[in-house]
Amino acid sequence: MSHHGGVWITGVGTATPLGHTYAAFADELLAGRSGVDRVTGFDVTDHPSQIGGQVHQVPCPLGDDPDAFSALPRLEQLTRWCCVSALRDAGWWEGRGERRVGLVLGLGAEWLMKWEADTLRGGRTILDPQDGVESLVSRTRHYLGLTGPAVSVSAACASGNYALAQAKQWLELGWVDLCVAGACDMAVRPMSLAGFGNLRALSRRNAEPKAASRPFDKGRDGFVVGEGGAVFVLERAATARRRGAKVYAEVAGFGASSDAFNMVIPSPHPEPAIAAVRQALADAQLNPAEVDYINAHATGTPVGDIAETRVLSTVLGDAVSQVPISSTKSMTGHLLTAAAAVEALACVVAMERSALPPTINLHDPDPECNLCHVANEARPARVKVAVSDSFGFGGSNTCLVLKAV
Amino acid sequence: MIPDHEQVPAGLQSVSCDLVAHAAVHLPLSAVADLRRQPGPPGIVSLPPTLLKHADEQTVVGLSAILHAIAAHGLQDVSFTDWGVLAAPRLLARSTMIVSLQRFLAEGAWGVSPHVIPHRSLHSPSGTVSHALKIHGPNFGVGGGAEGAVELLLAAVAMLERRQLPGLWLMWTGQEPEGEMDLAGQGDPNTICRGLAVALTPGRPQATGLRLHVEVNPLPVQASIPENPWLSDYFYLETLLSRLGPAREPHRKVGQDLTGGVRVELEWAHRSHGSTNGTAVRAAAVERAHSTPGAEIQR
Repeated sequence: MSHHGGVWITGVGTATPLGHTYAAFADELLAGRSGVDRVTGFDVTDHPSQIGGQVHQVPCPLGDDPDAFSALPRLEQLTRWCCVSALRDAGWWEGRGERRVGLVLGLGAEWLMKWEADTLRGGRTILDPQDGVESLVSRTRHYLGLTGPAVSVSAACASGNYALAQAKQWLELGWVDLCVAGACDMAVRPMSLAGFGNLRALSRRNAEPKAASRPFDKGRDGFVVGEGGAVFVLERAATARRRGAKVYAEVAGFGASSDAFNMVIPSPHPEPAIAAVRQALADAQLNPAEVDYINAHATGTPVGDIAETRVLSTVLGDAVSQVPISSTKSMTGHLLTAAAAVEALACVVAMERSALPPTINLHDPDPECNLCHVANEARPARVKVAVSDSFGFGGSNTCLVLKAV
Repeated sequence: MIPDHEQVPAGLQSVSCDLVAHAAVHLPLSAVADLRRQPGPPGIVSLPPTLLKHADEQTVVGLSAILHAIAAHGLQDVSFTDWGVLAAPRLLARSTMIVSLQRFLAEGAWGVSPHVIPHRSLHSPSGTVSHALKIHGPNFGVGGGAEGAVELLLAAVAMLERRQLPGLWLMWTGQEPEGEMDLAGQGDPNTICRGLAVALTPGRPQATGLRLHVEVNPLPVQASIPENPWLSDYFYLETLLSRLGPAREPHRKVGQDLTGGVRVELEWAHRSHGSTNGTAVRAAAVERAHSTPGAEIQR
């Protein structure tokens, strides 16, 4: 517990390739279904990777005008849906204007995405930035009618963990009464598919989309781009307890470090990543042996999965053969900026449903990724402590610890 | 049902940090190319030769500001291993994206550079600086638009208040004017690329030197849509440092109200037996780092 009695998750909102509600996401995740398919939103014939985990249509939040909603950029639709769903789920939607509510969102490519969509439609926004100048986090704050501070953060694929850590800090500082925090990304776009494809980071298993994302498997050949988001409502335990709120988990610990090695490739020296995981466990006042489940970053790249195995093997020590580990990217694809937030949600699912989500497509485990895999099928288990690793371009290493309440 | 109001913890809405180094770089955009090989004064750091090859101009100028701050405040021998770095670039990579999108339209997927995502995204400037200074603490980008200037300060002081980091480098970068560009990504030839670097350490009431106070209004602040965020001063902290002046009068204070119920103040805090020159700032940085668990000082 923190010095302030803890920070609890009391609401969730999500849209992913596995579904647009928490229940749908949980059902699909535990059924071991892949949300990856051939990309349909644009022509992919000259892209090296032609597959992705797509969110085809973001639902319009209750009370919004459907026509106006459909005219919004897709990332803004997603952000609105996730935030509104989380506030409604927490029971704060009606009362949000009476409290100081903060907003921390992981949004990594907001401007690149906006310029891309506009240019491909024949627009000129990128040439004259005086048009449409308000940032998405600011627009979302106004749309939601929130009265606390708002910040967007980006550490590439680790952004969601930083967002949750910031929100926890704001609550502990007393800056806000509650905080809406998470991350969203709509990365199945022509430029990102081309950019990551030309970086040779993506799977080219175009003929078998549902088998393409295969973390820890010997046959892995890169990651599959996914899109979606997860947003949480965080509040101090005292607040949640007083109002008898439904509680998903405690945000118990966070750790972060930088490789200072390369902007793309994980460091061959695992010490910084090990330090991040150890910091998170220390922050939560837990020993490695107390961990019931680890949601690995494991994207399915040949180098990254092995690097993470070294990190987890070192941190867990003797417990490495007993602590179950899975990569839910095998089902969602890699949601990039939103990955850490959605994987925190997968940890919540494991706690709430008492079941471990699997790594699907894991038929021939890489001997260099010798971990206690939850392979191909969900497994019943009581999960009181869940850990989520997330690493990112720029050498970012983060780790989040969630505890059942 | 709307629950009863719960009071936020009293007295915790203000955070104070020590500002131990700062520097600003203003350069014509055309001069940034030369900085890629030598971004700061000689002898400050040894950079990997290709580190800045694909970096955005804002990243280069921001790193340059940090290196100048290190030199100006005598921090060459301080190890930043356990520090963190946060960066708030404004409209990073606009020029590059113009060119990249035109190539995509002309050539399709194969025309898109693989360097855009790793080197020209919001996470890139802080990642590059962490690499340059061998920083193993946290690094991330903040904002990205006109409001990022305030967002950076909020994110930073919240992290420092936990007192788990010996210090944080903050970096604000942008171009002025942020004007029209053509399809080749070329704009006003008089465009200036600006970078402001600030080193913050957790506040120590007894230390002499520049102190930064950030207050967040504990009461709800009604959301209002800014008429034009570009009109606000992105480099407000540079303006405040300039207003504070070099006189270092004890307890002289300057401040500014920012958006979202946030107020920032700068003060020259004075301890009666402390000196008021740059040596005190350097010594304070070293002393603070020494007293923070995990800090490494090579001195």
